[in-house]
Amino acid sequence: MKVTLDMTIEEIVKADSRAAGILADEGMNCVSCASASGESLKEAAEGHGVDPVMLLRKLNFRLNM
Amino acid sequence: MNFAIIFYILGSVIKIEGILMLFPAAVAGIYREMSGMWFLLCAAVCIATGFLMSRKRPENCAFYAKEGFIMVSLSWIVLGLIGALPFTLSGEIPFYIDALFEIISGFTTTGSSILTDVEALDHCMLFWRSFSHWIGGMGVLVFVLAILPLAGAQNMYLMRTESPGPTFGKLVPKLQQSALFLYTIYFVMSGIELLFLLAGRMPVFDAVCTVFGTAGTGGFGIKNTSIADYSPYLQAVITIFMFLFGVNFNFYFLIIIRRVKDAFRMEEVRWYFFIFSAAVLAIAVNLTSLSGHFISNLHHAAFQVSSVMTTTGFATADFNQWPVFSKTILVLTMFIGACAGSTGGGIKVSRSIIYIKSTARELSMLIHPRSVKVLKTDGKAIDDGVIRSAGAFLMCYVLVFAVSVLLVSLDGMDPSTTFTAVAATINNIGPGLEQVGPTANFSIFTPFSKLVLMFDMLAGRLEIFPMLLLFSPRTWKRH
Repeated sequence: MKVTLDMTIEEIVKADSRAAGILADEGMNCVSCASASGESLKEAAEGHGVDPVMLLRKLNFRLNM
Repeated sequence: MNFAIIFYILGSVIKIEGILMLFPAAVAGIYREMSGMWFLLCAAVCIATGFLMSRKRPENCAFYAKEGFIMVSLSWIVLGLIGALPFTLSGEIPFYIDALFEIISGFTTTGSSILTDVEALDHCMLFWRSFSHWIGGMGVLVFVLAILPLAGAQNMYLMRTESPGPTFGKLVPKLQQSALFLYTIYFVMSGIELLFLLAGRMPVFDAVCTVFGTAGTGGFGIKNTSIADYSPYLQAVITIFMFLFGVNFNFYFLIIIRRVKDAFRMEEVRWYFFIFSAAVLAIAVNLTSLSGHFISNLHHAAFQVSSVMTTTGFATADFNQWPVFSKTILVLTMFIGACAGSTGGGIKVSRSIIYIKSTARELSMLIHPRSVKVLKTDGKAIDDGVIRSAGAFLMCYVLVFAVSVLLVSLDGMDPSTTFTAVAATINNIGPGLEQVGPTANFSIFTPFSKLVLMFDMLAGRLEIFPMLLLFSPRTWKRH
């Protein structure tokens, strides 16, 4: 699965549940957040002060393992 | 010190760099990227400057070890200083120190990057990054020697300094022929890898840049996820070719001249294969004991060991997340490195063999002080000078490593980040662990630390001594 910046958090976690743990490592407890279905990965990352591109790299690396 | 010949050869190197810059300019033309004009401008200035500097061959063409070492160090520094200009002038990497870090990482085939979003760069910039690996892989100076009509045994000093490993033996009596042989093998292997990648439906641009990174064992990817997004077939091809480019090129020469038995008897190559196999198996078993399928783990283990041991630095997995045992194996293979006479970095397998045999001999002499033991490799006695030189190399390596860790630690990063940042640069690997792991980059460091790490990259690529000699006043004396 290839994650992109415009995917919502809900879409990413539904596609691969391991994503929840990776997001939590970055302080983004998005699974329990009401914005999960509406916010894109880019928006969520920026909202939490996390570099979106770095987060995208981590997700794509780890979810491909 | 023959300054005239240094000036002359530097001029040739600058001229060649200018010519090489025409390739990314051509890529910019294909993709219609305005940033390509900076390559044209830099190429024009370099060719003109280099032509003026090398217009007249000096009367005294003699150069020996001292000139050789200085030549090599200055050439690589100048290559970096000029090579960084298109990045900064175009605004793609606006801060010059960052651009310098990136291109020195390219030419030294390290692959450490300060870029967060690699994919945001223009194609011509990505091409130049990757191309610098291919150029650096075999050493620009060896290339210069292969084509410049500087005759005589003096060229041996330049080639010995440039060529990685504890001993350099000519493949054939004429030095220029040796260089041409090495380049031919390099070109042919690059071409074969390209064909295999294209057969796996990798886009042409991706394939060319990947070949550059593999052949030079550099590791600059053009994707933010390095090689992780490509198919298992493509990852397997890259695994095999990274391994092959880490083999001593004498091995291939022996096969070409039909001395196949001698090739497979090369002790260093056999040890290289053994270390690689053992590391892959150990990591695959370790990963499988925790999660995942053995075959998938074996695939990723093979890729990462091949990548780290040859000091390429490509990644298909975030090995920062692997268990400590697996990460430790990777760090150990970082230091051992590839074979001498290859494009790989690290301490080199042949030196490791010398250290192990010397240590065994010393231990034996503790018990039998009057015994006489000759160290041998490939059935031949190892010259005492080689053993002494290998020992001196190790001491200098440890000294540079320790001082670098101390200086970089001023940035206040965690010990693992600091230690592996230096390890990754001095061994010309690329990624380290923690905050310089495969999903991260080197942008976290201050400009001072980046300069230290650049020195480490150059020291590692040039095998320490040429960079250290720059600081010796005796080196610069005329007589």
